[in-house]
Amino acid sequence: MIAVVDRIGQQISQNISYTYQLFLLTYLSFRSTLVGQTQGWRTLYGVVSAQIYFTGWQAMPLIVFLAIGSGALVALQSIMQMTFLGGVDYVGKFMVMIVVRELGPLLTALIVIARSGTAVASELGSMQVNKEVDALRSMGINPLSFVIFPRLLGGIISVICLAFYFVVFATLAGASVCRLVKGMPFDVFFTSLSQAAGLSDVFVFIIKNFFSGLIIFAVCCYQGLQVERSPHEIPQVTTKAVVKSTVYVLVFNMVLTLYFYMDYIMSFGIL
Amino acid sequence: MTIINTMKFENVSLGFDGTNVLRNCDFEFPMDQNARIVFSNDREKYFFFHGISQVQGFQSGRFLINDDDVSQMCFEEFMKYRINIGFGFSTRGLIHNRTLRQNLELPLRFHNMMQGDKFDPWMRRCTDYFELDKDLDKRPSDVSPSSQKATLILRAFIHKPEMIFLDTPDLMLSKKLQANLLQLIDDHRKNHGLRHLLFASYDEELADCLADQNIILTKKQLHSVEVNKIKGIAL
Repeated sequence: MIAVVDRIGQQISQNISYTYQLFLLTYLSFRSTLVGQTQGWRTLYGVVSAQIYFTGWQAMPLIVFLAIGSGALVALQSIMQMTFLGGVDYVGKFMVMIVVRELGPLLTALIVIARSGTAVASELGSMQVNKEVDALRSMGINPLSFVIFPRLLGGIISVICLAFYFVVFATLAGASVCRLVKGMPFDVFFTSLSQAAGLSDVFVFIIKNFFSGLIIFAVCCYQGLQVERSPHEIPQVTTKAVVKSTVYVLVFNMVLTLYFYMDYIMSFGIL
Repeated sequence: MTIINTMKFENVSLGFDGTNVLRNCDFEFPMDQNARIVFSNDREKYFFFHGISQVQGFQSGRFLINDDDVSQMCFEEFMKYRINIGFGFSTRGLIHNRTLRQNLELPLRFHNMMQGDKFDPWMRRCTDYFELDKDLDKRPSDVSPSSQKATLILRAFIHKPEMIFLDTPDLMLSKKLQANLLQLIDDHRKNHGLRHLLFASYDEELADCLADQNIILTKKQLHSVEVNKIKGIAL
């Protein structure tokens, strides 16, 4: 029994220490960029825009495909159930609750982890093996501002934009399904949608995606920098980056949902 | 940029994987000279160069440049010295997602050291020494090891530093390019403010042409020995 408690305690302290390291990496990268930077914003702009291109722009087709699929499915399932209960007008509300609040940020985060998080972790890992990080340091270029910060910033912008596109395409797909299956006019669907969505949803949407982007890229950068000498460490840190960033993003989303929508959930008598 | 006049170790210990390279070493580096580092072990040399270029820290002791303890300085504080130091890595260290030209330009652009119109003539002047023209717009993985090595060496010179560390500059360079390297060093000494050069070389002929002094590691301590230079490399 004591051994089990010890193990749990060890796990908790390891996770606290890991989270602290992530905070430190993020803080130092912002600090070195804003306080100690010598390069001017032009050099940084190039690296940030490249990151947005790879993470945001190149992931668009996959995000659109997923958004259309999941939006259509959510709408289809809701409309089927609501027809029996006589509340077809509530489809818009379901779309907001499931797609805008939960599915959009979460699926976008998972796609970004799979596509770009792995790429960042392995890229930084190979940079470590090839001594590129040391070389940057020797040239007076702080890797925290030149390598880490652009990835964090580019990642955050990309995740917010991708999640926005996800919601737009999922909603359009949902509206099209409602029109095709139930003959629901678009204006009815969008009126129901706009009644369900509030300012708090916009706020939570931005917060969720901002921090999801930050978490994903902080974890992946941190794991990439853990590579010391050998290329065989790269796949190991990449796997860890995927697992850890998925867990962190899920936990963060769950906590935020509970915090912001606790009253709403309780009003259903769930808790 | 701060002028470097003195560089010394006080009680410095340096190690890796539980092995000590230096133990409580006191040493004053010869200045205004070409000094050759003679270590028996390649990894010792690697860690030594990374230590003095402050890419990695020492275990203990004081590393003084102009009597400033730089081992206690953070990245930003050390910058005044760092941009006056060039470090040519032995192997690896090129940024792989950038072309050779971008690799060479990076420190200049990053530190805003040169205006746009001066870039091309300066780059041509430097790259001519190693016949890099054809490879300049290729990425490191697309060029020969010799061109990669030449870029690593040139990157140490490109921002006209006062002090240069070259880790095995002879590696993968033909005799002709080694002779060009000597000319490059000579040109930088005469025209571009190079004062102090620390290098390691397994090529005795190049070392004999270049070194004014040997810095030898024995019993975890550094000692300097005067040597006689020879005139040039036999092609």
